Amino acid sequence: MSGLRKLLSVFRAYFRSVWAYPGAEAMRTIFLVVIMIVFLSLWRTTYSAMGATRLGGLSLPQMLEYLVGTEAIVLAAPAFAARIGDDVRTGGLSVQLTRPVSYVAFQFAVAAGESWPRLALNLLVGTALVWLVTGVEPLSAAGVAAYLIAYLPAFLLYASLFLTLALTSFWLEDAWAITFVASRMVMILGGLLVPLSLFPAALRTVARILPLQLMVYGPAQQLSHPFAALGTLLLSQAIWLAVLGGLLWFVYARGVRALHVHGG
Amino acid sequence: MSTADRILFWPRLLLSALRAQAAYRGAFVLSIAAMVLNDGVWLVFWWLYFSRFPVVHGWRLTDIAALWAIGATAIGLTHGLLGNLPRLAQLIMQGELDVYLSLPKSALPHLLLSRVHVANLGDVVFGPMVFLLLLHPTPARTGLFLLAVLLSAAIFFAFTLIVHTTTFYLGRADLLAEQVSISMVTFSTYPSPIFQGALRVLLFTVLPAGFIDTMPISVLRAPDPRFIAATAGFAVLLNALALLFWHRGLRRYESGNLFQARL
Repeated sequence: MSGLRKLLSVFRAYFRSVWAYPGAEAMRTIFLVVIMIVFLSLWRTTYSAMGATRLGGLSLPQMLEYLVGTEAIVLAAPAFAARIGDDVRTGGLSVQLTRPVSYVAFQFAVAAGESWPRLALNLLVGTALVWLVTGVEPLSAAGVAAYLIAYLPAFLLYASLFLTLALTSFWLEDAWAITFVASRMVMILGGLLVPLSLFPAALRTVARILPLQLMVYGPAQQLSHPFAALGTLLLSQAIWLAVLGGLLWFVYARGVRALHVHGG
Repeated sequence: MSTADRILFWPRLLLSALRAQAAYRGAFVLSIAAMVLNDGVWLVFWWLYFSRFPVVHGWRLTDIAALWAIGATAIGLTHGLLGNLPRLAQLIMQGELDVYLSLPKSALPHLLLSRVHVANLGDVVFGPMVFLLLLHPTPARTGLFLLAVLLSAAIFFAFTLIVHTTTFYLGRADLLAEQVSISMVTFSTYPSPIFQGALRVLLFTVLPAGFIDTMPISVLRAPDPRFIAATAGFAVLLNALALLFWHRGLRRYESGNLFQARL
């Protein structure tokens, strides 16, 4: 069996496991519904208080579309730290490392298998909620297409960064704190809660330099502005993917060596 | 066992739970620091927001800081120091109450004080820090802050206990309890006036976050005795209901036949 076919099998197994418990998956969307109701209330109040039809270049429906897009990505994101931390603490890692497939590639396949169906479910639930409550038309086909095109490299970037951080479990045993802090950086500098167009100029410049906005803000803004500057976005994502991919490879190689030193 | 020993048993139990976690000093400090940073990031979000939109229904950035100071401290006390509270559904599901039920001490405080959730201790650090640094503490305001924390913690505690004890009645309800608890915390961290209509009614009844996110205005900024009395009454009622749920639920508890030891 070739490496790719093995990874596809892993992907398929985890993809199916998500759908095997539809009740549990539906339960996970409760938080998405809650946070969208909160955002809906907050931004409706804000637009009304400011007497504005557009804020940061977005109308209220576009703002809600944007927030559905960002929350869908982050709430579907893989939880590497818990899984790898468990592997390290329980000693299960010694079994994982003997699999006839790269450990890092295995983690990517698992993450994709779990995240992609959850992303679809989140988009569906978020859009339906906004539609029901505001009467705003659902996302456009062009917007969703552009979003998904930008999502794939965004997912790889996110997974590379968070897998790298989770691999510090090889030394720390528990990478929860470090990944938690990083996820909070994504929240602000990635544009999860507020689009970059509403940032003060200095902070916007900082956010644009960092790769975090390419994981969340970049794809989400494609929903309201389909294919606008998509080429530039994909190019930036590709460059950062090379950087974060290299870092992941480096940390993994060092981590495995450290494990062997300790007797793995 | 003397009366003093009986009384001191609970703080000693909490202290030993704290010591157990603090033994992993690096992880202990890092987890607390991560939560302080998390809470700080939320204040940055609101700073970003208020830098563009200075007032929302009379709320300013300082009111949000007060909301986070009160809410974080209350959550830290209930979810951090009572570390088994957010895990209660899981413990019930897996039949892990046996060890507490078989001992002479009251099971609920015993299991709640037996574990500390380190990350939420960061909330206990963050809340008072924000109050001291940003909210102009005077003796009177400090008293009001402590009152707001006490009322919020009582509501958080009772609500979390109720949603987790549904596991006695529904069976597998851990995910539901977790999601509903997170929803309560989420609604508690946004200014109350943005929620209107049926949602507002919901937030003062079924999901009582409305009491908590009104505290910065009606307790700290312009103390309203009627609101404080109503909130205190609600907190007492909710706690009574929570204890009733717990004791009734215990009758339905089924052992997991697990061998466990409390050392």
